[in-house]
Amino acid sequence: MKKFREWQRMGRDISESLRSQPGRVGLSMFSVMIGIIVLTLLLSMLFGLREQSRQLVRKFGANVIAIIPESGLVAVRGFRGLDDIAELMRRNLSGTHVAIMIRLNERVTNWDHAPVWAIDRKTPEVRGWSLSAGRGFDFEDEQRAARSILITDALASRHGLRPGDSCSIGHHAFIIAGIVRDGSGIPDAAGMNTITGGEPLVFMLQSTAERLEYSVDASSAAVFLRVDEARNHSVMLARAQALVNDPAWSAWRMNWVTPESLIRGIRDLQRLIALTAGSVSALCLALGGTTLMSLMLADVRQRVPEIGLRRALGGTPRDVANLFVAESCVITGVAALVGIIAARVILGLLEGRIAVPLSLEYFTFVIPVIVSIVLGGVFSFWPAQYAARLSPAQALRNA
Amino acid sequence: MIDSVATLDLKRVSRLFPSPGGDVTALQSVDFLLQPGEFVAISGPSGSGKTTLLHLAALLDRPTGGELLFRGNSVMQMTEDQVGELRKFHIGMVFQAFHLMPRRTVLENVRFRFRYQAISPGEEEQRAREALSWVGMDHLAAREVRWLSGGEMQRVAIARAVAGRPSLLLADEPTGNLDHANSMAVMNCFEQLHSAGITILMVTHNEGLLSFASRHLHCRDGRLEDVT
Repeated sequence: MKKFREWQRMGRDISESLRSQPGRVGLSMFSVMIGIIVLTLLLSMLFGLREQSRQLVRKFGANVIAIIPESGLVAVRGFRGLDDIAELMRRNLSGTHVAIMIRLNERVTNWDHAPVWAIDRKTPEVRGWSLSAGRGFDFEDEQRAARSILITDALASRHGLRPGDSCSIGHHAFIIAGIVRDGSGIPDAAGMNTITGGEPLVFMLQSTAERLEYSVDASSAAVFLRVDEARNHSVMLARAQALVNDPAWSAWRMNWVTPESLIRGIRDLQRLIALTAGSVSALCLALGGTTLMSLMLADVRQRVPEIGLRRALGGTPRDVANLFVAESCVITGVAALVGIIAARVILGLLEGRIAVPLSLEYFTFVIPVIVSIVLGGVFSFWPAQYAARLSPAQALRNA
Repeated sequence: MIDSVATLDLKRVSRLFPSPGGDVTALQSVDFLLQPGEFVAISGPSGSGKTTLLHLAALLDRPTGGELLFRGNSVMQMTEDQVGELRKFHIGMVFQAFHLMPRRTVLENVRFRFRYQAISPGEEEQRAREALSWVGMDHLAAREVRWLSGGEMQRVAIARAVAGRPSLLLADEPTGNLDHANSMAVMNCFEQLHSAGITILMVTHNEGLLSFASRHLHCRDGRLEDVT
């Protein structure tokens, strides 16, 4: 109860002080608010990137390695080039599952010209795809080069397609065998990861593509290795790299994409943003804090008689210091809330309009509030100490 | 009504203030005993050390030499918190500049006396209203202080000082900012409080007010002379 009374009295003191100096309070809040807006935007970007990197790895597969040969290999040797790499891995790397993916220079005639990829029957398993309807490819399909295809959810939902429906690719008719759930990755020739999160795609068996003599897009081909959980991912990567260092392969340059390399790319971006936006927000907060401190100091000087009175009524130096620190924390706390609302509006406007992903998680907003209150405490410390150290006699004499 | 056991005892008290040109002596070896129930007025020219003496009596400052006893206890070895406790419960002060909070009401200003005391809101209000009635300001309890005249403000300041039922009431030029009529009203308040048993130590320039006091001291060049 006593504590409550003390808080009540302190609240009253703070409220009166803030109301009596709206200009100073407004300026202090504004200076802190700018820093908080920048900090909130920065955190939103950083958390957004972190979430994006998690999704990227999840879609790519945590234990997956992609070998992307330079386009010359496929251009010269066609499907055989990829098959040979896959076979090399199968023979020499126990504890891995190998699959290939290669883009064809064909598009589906009647479904928005969706791109077509050739895969082997193991690819869905290696990539961790799941089917939302129908069935995958089996051994028999592969042996007889079945005219079956898999399509993505995006394509199916866009055109209302179901297993059993047919389409034309080039001059040949195909039947939909199954529908792949969205959310699996396909790296392109540059080693960047393309996510099938909403892309309309078609997959056919490599054996079928070979038999029908579809031409391949040499710049989009990859061999995927899924490493068993029990195996050391880094060791398997090193062994796979050693295999293609063989003179038979060393003429072709290989790009290697791993979850680590994907995360590294995101982290580089995160570091860049943290460094630039972090410097700006730190600068804004430091400027805001300095402004707050100078205004607090001016406030203390203006309220010297009041400080003298408080001391004459029995207030201790600690009471006086606490009052100014609390006032400052209230100012920065309110500034943080206003700043966060403003940042939320800005984030709402930016969402979907900039390339950088944004996170609107609660900690994006909680951290600035904490930072702001700490800022209030830190930057009011010196003015509060100055007030506390004032001699009460001197304070009353100078009134 | 009021506890009046205040005893202030200054023994060869000095107060020096350091300055770039050398120490300035504000008080020099002052001996002064204030008995409970006394009303003592201190007069003297500007810079003679009156206010310094009052601040020492109010325990807002400490002597640089000699000994200062408050109610028989030496304050020289007391911590800041202990001195704060004495100020909180035993000393009331009235200032020339009133030091009221203009946006708060009369009652709220008097209640501010208890800002650092742990008493219930009900008792706080009751004692504040009681003090306002002593100075004849209870009818203006709800008015904001900024709308009061100078004399009324000083009476509110006196109410604030005595609301805590102090043993010692100190007044620093209480009529310095007031005209004659308001000065008389304020002095009448002091007279009533003195009659009620409060010990009062008042510093003033105004020779005309000295007759209200039971004892008159004169301060000159940091020394105190008993005039009565």
